[in-house]
Amino acid sequence: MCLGRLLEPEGLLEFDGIDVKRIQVGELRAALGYVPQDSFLFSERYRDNIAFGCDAPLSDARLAELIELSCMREEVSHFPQGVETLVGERGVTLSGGQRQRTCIARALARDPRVLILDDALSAVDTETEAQLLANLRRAGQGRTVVVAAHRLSSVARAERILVLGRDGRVEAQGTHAELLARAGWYRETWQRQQAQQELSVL
Amino acid sequence: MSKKDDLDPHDDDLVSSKAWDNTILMRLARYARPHARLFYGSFGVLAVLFALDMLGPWIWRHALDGPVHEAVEARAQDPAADVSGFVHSFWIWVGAYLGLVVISIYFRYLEVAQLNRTGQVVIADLRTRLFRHMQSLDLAFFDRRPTGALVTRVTSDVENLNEMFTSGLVVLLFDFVKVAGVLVFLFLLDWHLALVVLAGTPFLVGVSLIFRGGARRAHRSVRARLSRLNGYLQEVLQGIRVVQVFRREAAVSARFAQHLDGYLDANLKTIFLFALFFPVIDFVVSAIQGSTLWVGGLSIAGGHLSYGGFVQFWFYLALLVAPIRELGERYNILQSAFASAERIFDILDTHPTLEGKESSPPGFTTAPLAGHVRFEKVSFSYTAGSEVLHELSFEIRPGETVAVVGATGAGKSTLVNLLLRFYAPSHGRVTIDGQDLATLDPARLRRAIGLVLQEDFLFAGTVEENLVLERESVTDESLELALEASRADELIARLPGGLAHPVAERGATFSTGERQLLAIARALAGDPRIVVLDEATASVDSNTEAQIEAATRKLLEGRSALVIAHRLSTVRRADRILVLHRGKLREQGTHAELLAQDGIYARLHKLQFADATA
Repeated sequence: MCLGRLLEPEGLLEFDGIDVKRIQVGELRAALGYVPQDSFLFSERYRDNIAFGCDAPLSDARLAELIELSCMREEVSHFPQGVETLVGERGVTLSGGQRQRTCIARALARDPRVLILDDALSAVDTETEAQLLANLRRAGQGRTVVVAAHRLSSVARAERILVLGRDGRVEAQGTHAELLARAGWYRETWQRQQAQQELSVL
Repeated sequence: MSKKDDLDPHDDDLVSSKAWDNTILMRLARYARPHARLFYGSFGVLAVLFALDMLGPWIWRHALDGPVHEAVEARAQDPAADVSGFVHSFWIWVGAYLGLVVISIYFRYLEVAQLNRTGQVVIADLRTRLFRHMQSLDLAFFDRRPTGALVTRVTSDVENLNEMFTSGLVVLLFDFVKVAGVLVFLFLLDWHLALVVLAGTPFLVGVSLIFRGGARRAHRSVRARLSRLNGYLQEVLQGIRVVQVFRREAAVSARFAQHLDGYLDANLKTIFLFALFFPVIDFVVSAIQGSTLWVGGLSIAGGHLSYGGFVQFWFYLALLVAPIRELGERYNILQSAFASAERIFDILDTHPTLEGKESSPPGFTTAPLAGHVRFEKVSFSYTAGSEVLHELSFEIRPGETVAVVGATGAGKSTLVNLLLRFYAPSHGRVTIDGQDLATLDPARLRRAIGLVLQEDFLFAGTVEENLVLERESVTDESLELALEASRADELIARLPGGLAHPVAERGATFSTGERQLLAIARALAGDPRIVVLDEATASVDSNTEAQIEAATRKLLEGRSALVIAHRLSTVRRADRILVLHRGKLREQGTHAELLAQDGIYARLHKLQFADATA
């Protein structure tokens, strides 16, 4: 939010070494791909939703690629009119996970420098999540990705993980392996979520 | 973003309507019937006004044909004749006319006041009814409809009916009486002249009615586009964050302008019809007036008609033309009201499918429920093919607390949804005191149940309003007892204004713990037989935690309770624990029994309550 300057922080926030307050809001946001927590979609055709952030129309090939990347190919092929199907009240009602994946495709369509996933994988099952994250890694060479998550499997493969405390301070940071090596919130939560995961496949 | 087809035939906002629909009219009349006295009042005022309108020209004629005529005659015989006597009686007529004007002004005021009052009362009633009905509908109904379109139903569609009740229907009905009445008087005055007018009338009516077809179509399209515009606006405002981050302000504005253009086009079409209508109708009116002058002049010259009689006729002609000229406009109002009424009825005709019926013998029905809950082989799926619950059977005897535990997605919330009858089981049945929920009055069911959700909803209003929620069963005493029992009274005492303290929308000014406490107090105030509690997982400070725990204990005491448990203290105290796993009931027993089994519960216990035992 602060990065996109929807909120104004105290202190210094730099983007490529420049204080974000000195970058034009439009230019700054152009570099961002944002996947909101509430996975908000418009009551438009599926393809219009994905092309939402693009200035030029999306080619069919690019659209198919984005759908593939966001692990939606199977589902979209079952929509009554494919990518032309209306989303929302007058068309298909998407599940939480499908909405989140569609929002990811929408953000990727802009080929952003920075991709921000704001707890945007919570409704995606862990198997699809793994596939999706692998796709993002493959497609996003050189792209900065910020993932905010409650489920630690979403961030386990990140280069660096920041653990934020209740007061908004950084409590710990490091790689997944480093954080696991230390006793603390991260390790406890990881173990608990792993156990829960195990339980759910029982 | 491409331009979509504008008029989708399946569009909810474009229900087809007939030119004149008796069924709709009869239904509207039913909603108006309780206010019949207001309508009679309106007709009374209109009748008096009509009489006054007819009296005016009669006075003119008698003034002209009486004193004025006599003075003219006298002067014709003797130019030096004294006419002061005539002037005196002439003034009596003028005075009478002025008096009439004053009385008319008063009745015109009454007309506007009475008609609008009638309309406002009727639509306030209808709006309440519509809103109440909407609230009773299944959740699935709201899943399928844009909120903006529903808002349009309750606001502008109902407003259209207001116009119909005030300037539309009542006035239209009375206009027919007026036209018939004036025609009779015209024939009494001079049947030659009346025949001239009668010959012109069909043209007048014809133009008015040809106009109606176009006006009807244009109006429907205006309403449909307005509704779509509202829906779009609502959606964009909801997603404003996405719009801003994706820098789509310009594109969204363009899309909005597109919707607006459609709305404008539709409006312009209506305006064009109006612009065309008035010159055409004026032409017909002028032609009738011209013929009247011609035939009237010949009658006066031939000695069949007095000057005064002609003036009276001329005024009556205006009284006749006015309502016919307005016919198109009235029709317009009726049309737009029919279209609105149809959309409103469309909602009123959507019935909740889960509505239970009271089928028990009378006498038994009013008895309070004891709270004996049974799930009998209940299966459920939200979408065909994927079962969320599978053949679940268990019971909660009156006064018992049953805790449900299970991993995320095990079906715990669905269990609650079924007990509250937000959804009906796909197979099996849920009973309370032996009665199937499908046959139980939902109002009675929900009265018996006290619900506390994880994130309970607080409305904008005062704290007291939020606690009482307009339940008749909640009295000052029961509220006080509930606050005391839940110890929420301590919280209330800290608030400036106490119970009258304002709550911001969604209770944003209260902490999570405080909201939970208020939710428990709210449930307690209704003194429910059955408690459904979805314990909050959000952690709060230990002081508040203790308070919530104590309040929870009070709430569960002596009541049948289904608890989705997250607190160790709650599961420990439960009479029975159900372990739900992937929609199946896998284990059942007390805390100690289940721990000894060393099964799913034992593992869940380790997971969920690890913090609490530490």
